[in-house]
Amino acid sequence: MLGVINYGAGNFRSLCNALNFLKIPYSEISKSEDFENVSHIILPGVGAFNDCIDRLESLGITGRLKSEIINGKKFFLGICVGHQILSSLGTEFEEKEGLNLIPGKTIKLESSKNLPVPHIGWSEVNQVKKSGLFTDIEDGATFYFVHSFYIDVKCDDDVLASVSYGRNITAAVAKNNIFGVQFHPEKSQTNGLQLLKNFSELKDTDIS
Amino acid sequence: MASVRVIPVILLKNGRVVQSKSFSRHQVLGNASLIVSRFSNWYADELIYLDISRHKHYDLKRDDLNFENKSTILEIIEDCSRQCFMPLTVGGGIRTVKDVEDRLRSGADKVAINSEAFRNPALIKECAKRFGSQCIVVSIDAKKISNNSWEVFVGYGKEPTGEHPDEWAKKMQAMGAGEIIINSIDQDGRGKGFDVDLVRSVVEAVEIPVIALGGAGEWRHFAECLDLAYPNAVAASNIFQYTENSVYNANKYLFEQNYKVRKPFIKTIIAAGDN
Repeated sequence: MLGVINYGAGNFRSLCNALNFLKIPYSEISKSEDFENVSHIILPGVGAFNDCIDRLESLGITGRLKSEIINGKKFFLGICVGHQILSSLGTEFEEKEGLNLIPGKTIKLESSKNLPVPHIGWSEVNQVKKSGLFTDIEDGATFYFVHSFYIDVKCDDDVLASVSYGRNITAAVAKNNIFGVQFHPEKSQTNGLQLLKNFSELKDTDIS
Repeated sequence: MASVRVIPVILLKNGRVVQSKSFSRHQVLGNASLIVSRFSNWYADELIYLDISRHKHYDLKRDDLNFENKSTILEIIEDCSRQCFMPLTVGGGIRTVKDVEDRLRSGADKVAINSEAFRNPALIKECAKRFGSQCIVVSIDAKKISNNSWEVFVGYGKEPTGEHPDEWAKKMQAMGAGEIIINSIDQDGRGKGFDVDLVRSVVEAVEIPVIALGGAGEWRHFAECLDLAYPNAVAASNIFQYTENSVYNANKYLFEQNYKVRKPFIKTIIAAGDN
């Protein structure tokens, strides 16, 4: 069963709309016990890094979430800010510790005349390693991005996909059962729906 | 680099989709949620919904169309977002932080704020802080007052503000707006092309993305605006409503002329769900 963390993130409903459309059953997670019958966890997110961490804290589920991912080996997909908080440190407004599951820092995109920040719109996503998350999605497929920050990933091995915005930046991360996407699959039409479907179908045999 | 976005704008008046001419005449085109699913299947990059109802009553005499009446803008957003797997911006009648929150909760990804940004600029700051700049779009309606000079108007294009659109856009950027829609009151609904000088003046003033609106009557008007004003997105309302596959055709036209739009694509989105 898929569980979607409901902590008041702006795109919670959009994500549920997409799952309903795909006919993927899911439950809502807003307290520790809600993790029990769940094998896959999605953390949606729109907004600021600190706010995301604070909201998880206020639900009192941060520790449990980490343990479900690390010890329970449950599949995890973070979206946008939900992906960024996988990193070690956030730097939006002030420094804030992340979940530290993907070593690296979440930093601001550099803006210039031809590269406005936030980066808003459809960009090609280049898959740099193979993963079940991208099954039936062609390399270079477009996804919808809305962000001003990205994870500067420490180990290249953790980068699953990149997007060119002035230079190559992290579009997706993957490490064992942990996945994160900077873009919004729930807003990326067919490609995004496919990615959500792929995530919901990941099995233990998909990771070694 | 993000692709240049081509964005259909849907004007909603008392719950019905209308077309607009010079901000005054509105002709009813049809049902909001049906139009959304069409644009979704045509792979629009994004959708902008502008509610131009003068009152908060949605007295939908939809008997002619045989559709369930939707009584509030929030219900319309909810209904549309269920079948809209692309970004949805909702504008019109937004006065408070709660108005913004309600729309985001109902399924909007961004909100567009216009008159209230002028009456109460702190609203932009507050909303950007609370919800993130990425979902706060400031929509600017401008009218030409002399050669190369424009003035921002609010209140459905009726109230002058004394502000120049480029300066105003800059102020809004400083307040935390994440995007600007620049609309020409003069060109609205005329189908004669964008006011490219106006668009360029705003594009040059800010670092955040700018969406050009107002006046597209042919696909080449999009190309012309991109060539001369370099906006990050081109938007239009009426032109997308009349022909079948309009969004696809617009994209195809631009793609074939080497504009950096998304590759044109057409497929019923249901297919992904049935795989």
